Amino acid sequence: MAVTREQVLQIAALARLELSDSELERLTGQLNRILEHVDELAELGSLEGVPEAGAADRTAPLRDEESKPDALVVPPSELAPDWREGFFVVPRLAALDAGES
Amino acid sequence: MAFPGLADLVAEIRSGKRTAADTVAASCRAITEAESGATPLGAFLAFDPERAASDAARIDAALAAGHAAGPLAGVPVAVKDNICTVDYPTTCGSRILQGYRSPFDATAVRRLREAGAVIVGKTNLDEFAMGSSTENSAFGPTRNPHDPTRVPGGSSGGSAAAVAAGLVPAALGSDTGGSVRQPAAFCGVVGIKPTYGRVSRYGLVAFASSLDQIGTFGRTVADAALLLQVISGPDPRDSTCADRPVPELTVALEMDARGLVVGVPREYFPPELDPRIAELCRAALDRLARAGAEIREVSLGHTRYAIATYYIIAPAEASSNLARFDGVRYGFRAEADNTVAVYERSRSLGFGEEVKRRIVLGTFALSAGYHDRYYGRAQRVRTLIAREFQEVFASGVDVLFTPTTPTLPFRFGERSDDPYAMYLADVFTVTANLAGIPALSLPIGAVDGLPVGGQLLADRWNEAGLVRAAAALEQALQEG
Repeated sequence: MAVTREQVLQIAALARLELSDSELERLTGQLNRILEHVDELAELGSLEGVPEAGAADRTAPLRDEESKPDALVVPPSELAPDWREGFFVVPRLAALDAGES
Repeated sequence: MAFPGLADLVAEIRSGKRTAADTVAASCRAITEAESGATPLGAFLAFDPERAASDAARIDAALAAGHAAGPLAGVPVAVKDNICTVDYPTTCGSRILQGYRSPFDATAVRRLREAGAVIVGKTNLDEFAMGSSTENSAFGPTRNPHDPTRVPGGSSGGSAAAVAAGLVPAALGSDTGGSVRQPAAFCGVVGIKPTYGRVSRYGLVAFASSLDQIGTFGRTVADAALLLQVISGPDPRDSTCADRPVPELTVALEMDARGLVVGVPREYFPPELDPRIAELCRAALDRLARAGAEIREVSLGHTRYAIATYYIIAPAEASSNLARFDGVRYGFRAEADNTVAVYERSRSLGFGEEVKRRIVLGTFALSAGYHDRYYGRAQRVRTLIAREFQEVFASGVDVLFTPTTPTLPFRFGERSDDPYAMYLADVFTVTANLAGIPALSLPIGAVDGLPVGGQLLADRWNEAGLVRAAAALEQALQEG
């Protein structure tokens, strides 16, 4: 299948990416070339009954349910640009200034 | 500089024939020299001779005080820059993480340090490990030490080049679709991707979580295997890291090829394979046969769907994993007048072209209406690919042998404009990640001075068999 510029723009918005016109043009062409190859998977016909690979085919080991403090090698106060009274201080977002919630 | 093999190097440091300080200083001098001048190698994104010297002095002091020395006492090791370290930045080769410093060491790094290794620096990579040439790094490319006009492979190109250029005797990389084995082949060193779950991913910045594994580089099979031995084993901080005993790889190194059944999948020798690489593969198989191995042709019919499968699953997982880089929690942040615009602008300016391409592709593959057609289908084909490997190994084949790459190292820019052509560089390596099996690349010869790698693959958890076959082949090739 082929994707349109509008679809790519919509997907980029979902992924929180801004694309310039030239980026959009290039990316649409490249995605269509990639999807052309990916569509070869259709040759395999119905895959009814074949399970999807994933976590189910690998048993993850469970650890004992006990809480342990995970001591950081470097304390957060030394990592943060600003740290006051046990909290990270981050720049105020303009949206908050404008009263947006 | 030429380091001896790791076993000999550690023995010399332990016996006092050389010190950790001298060894690490020699490595740092070599790095400084390689990274200066008109055409720097571009293998390192960060290195710190003073810090390394201080770590090495601690090892020497411990040895002098008679404390037990670890199996890597005093060994300088380089670490790919998508693996977290407290004492160096971890950038993933991306502007969005420029200057980011992790508050913890990755488990693999912690184990290296506990074994006495000294981390001398962080190595270059394709941004977030997405690429096959190291051209996608935001901080400039790495050059191939065998020909500076050519790529070192990727995405762990910095680690492979650092070992190949003799700057360090060993290094860590990560392998999601071939990112250890392909640069190992292009740079003429040994690279191992372990079984999925053999090495903890704690502290490896996630690209595609069901495919990512930390792997090792060395100049010889023994060196790469020793590093793997040290970093392997269960870790309560990674639930996908298996609670299984780690095999003694040093024992496997001593075994020969007699009785070994080597499968050769015909699908890995297609017409488009460079005939000079095919010829070297045939010669390597001939050596293995003469050393007592049985060579058996096999078929892995779904191989032709592997690239398409991989380039749906890996971008899908990447689109989810990279959602965390939003300009708020880590590194680079662009200013904008509302929250969503901060996210969008930070990500758009912080990520490079290949990363954005894969995020968009992955978001598309997971989006409503296309999920079953793309992601669901790819996950089913992945099952078929894994089953095929299981059947071949269940039929009595101990290891498979294939070329690692279809071509010789290419020139800078040669594939930059065609993403799919670049993806095809991984055509022989992605299957091991999709199936979760261990695989290794080792040098099997050269064409016009450019190295060629051969790939061995084994059943899940059979790193011992993989290392045995690789050491036997290495030995057979040396004997000529």
